[in-house]
Amino acid sequence: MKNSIYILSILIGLFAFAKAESQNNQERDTFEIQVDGLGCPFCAYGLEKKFKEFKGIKDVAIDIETGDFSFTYPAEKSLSMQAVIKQVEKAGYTPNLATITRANGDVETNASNHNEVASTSLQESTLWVNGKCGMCKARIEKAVSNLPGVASATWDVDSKQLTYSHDGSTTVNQVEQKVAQVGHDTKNTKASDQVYDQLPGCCHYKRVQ
Amino acid sequence: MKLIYVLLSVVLLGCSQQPVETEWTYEKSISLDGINPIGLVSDDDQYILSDGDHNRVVKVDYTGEITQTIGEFERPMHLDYIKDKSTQRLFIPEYGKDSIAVIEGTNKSYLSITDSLDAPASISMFKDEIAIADFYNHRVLYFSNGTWQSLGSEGKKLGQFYYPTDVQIMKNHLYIADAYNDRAQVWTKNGEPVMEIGMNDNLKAATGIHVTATELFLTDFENDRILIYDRMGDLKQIIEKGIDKPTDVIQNDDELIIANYRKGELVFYKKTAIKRKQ
Repeated sequence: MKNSIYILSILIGLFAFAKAESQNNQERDTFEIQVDGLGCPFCAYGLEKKFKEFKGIKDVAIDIETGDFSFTYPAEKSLSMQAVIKQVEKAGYTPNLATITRANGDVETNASNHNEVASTSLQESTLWVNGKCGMCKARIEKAVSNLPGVASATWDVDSKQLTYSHDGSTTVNQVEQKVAQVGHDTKNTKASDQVYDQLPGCCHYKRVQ
Repeated sequence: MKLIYVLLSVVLLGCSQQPVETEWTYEKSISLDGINPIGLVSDDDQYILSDGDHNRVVKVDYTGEITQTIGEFERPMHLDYIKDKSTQRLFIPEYGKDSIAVIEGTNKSYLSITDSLDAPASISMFKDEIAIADFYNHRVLYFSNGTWQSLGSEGKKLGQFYYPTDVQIMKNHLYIADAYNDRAQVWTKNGEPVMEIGMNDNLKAATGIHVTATELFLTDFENDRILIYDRMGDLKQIIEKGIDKPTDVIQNDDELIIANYRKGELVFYKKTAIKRKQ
């Protein structure tokens, strides 16, 4: 009888431990980040490797085609958006939209409020901007889209043409200055060597002298 | 008599059309079901592939069927394989583990390296020499005469690297795929950079390199091409047919084999003589 009580106690203890462990496993935040420039497996595995520095990371998935990167992390560690963005940049890539779905259901995003531009007076302009890859595309489009008066911006990798719709309040010169600030040359404005040198490897386009 | 003239004409015509050079022509592609190959070495009539996406190294036959799963590894990369009468050793850089696994028969061990690696992408063995492409450290670690040397630093000049992904030791030089500088570099074994290759050929991510006695093959990952140079770095041929995100290339006798990473394929090219009229 005494042995039976011991065995029962052990079983109840094990069951309680397993249940607690299971709950802990479920309490994980989910991170989804769209990363530009993951063109090759070396880049993708490199991103994964840098995130292994976050002890407790699980369920890592990277889609090289789309740049979608996701993982889960223990909720109790409250990993911040800022830390995630910083780690992506440390790996040498540019984070775009990032979303954290906390274990309690709360959702956080790094999406900025886009410019409110009156759609009635929009005009379209084009500009040649030097660049090389999908990561360049994300950087150029992000920089130009954030300019006041710009409603949208699209840059084509092959033609190197930037097409942006705007209300006329931002000049071409301001657009050129903005893309130069983030490392990209135009016909009239060159990025500084220092900024160019800091671009990720896959973004080092051939500069026109 | 007439027959003799005809035969003589045929012989003379044949002599005036001597094959003077060769080129690589597309032969076939084989599908590798569920494998995304990065590193490729041959083992008799089979191929050993590192399957980075699935954390494993496998051996496949000429149809692409897996005949052996050699083991599980953390993001295995460009391999090297030593096979002689006494030894069969497979060297596997584990990119995610910062180490080089050595498989000998059923035994697995790890190479002892005094310096720390950050994402080893390739290994090359030559007699008692070892070279490792150390991706995040932007350098090549080279072991000879019992000591390790660190070759190169981060940058774009000759002698600097930007994410090197492949390396091969030959008799007198080291050949390095300087991936995100979009070129290959040649170094002496004394640690002197002597040549850069592919600077004017619009490469985008030169991820794999293979060197033979007469040619140097460079994979152009983003542009879906293999660029073929002579040993002096002069471009001889560009091949594109069937090539899609290539990560590695090897020559096996008169056959060139290319690993297509994204589509999961091996692509075969054949050496063909070009006849030129004089």
